[in-house]
Amino acid sequence: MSIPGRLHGLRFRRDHRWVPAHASAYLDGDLAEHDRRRVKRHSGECAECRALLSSLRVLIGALRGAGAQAPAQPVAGAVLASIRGRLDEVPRDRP
Amino acid sequence: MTAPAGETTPGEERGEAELVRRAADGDMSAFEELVMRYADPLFASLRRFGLDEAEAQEVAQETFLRAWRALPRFEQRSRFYTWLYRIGFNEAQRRLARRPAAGVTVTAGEDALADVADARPGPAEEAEQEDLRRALARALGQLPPDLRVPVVLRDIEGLSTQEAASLLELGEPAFKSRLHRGRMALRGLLIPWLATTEP
Repeated sequence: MSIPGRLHGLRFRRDHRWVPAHASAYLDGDLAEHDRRRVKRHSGECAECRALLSSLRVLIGALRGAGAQAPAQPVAGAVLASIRGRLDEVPRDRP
Repeated sequence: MTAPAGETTPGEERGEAELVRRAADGDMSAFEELVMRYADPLFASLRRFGLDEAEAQEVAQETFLRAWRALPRFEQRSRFYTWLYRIGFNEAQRRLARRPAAGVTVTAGEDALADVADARPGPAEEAEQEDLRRALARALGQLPPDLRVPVVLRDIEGLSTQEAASLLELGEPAFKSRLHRGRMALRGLLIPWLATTEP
């Protein structure tokens, strides 16, 4: 194998270990520009890391969607009713 | 805070600040308005932390009672809901810590996400979303709390890294590390599902 080919192989293996460890930081926008480019370059040629990033992106989207949903049964009225009579008994801190 | 209840207009924020000031001065009707405004999002968050319905209601009540007690000391340096959320989170952690170690999160995770309303998409999408919600809930329930809580705070509750790390009293690098490990663990549990839904 040529020297450039061997260097490419070394870089590929090194990035293949590095990218999964930094996948969340990449997706959260926490990486510096040169590190972002490193992830993009490697995932462009590595199907395994591309799949990892893609599945994490789907997962994070699903989790965020779950957070945007409202509770099916409002409880505010019940919470208020349960504490209304007790507020008078609670000693209050001083300002 | 970017948590669900944290989105308000400047006008609403001024109204809230006035309500908080009145409540701090002892005006119960102002405090009751705050309860009606924030009990539902707080309850939803408590459920996602892993409490069952009855526990979440009890903890919500306790949170508001503690807030009523401490309000005179609240200096409004943060939003009221951010402050309330922190009290609720700490109460939830205390409640979870009292549970037996085994089964702390599994049942709670099962319906914490499933028991929510959605935007009613078409039947096929709805079924798919329901499947995902249940799969996510099960998988979250299988994570140990130290990995689950960062995922819940950051990805479900929508807190910033700084807010979530501060709530857990962790440095940001340590928080990010746990968040990543939590996500990777979840991914491992959900691989079949995620593989079929990849774009």
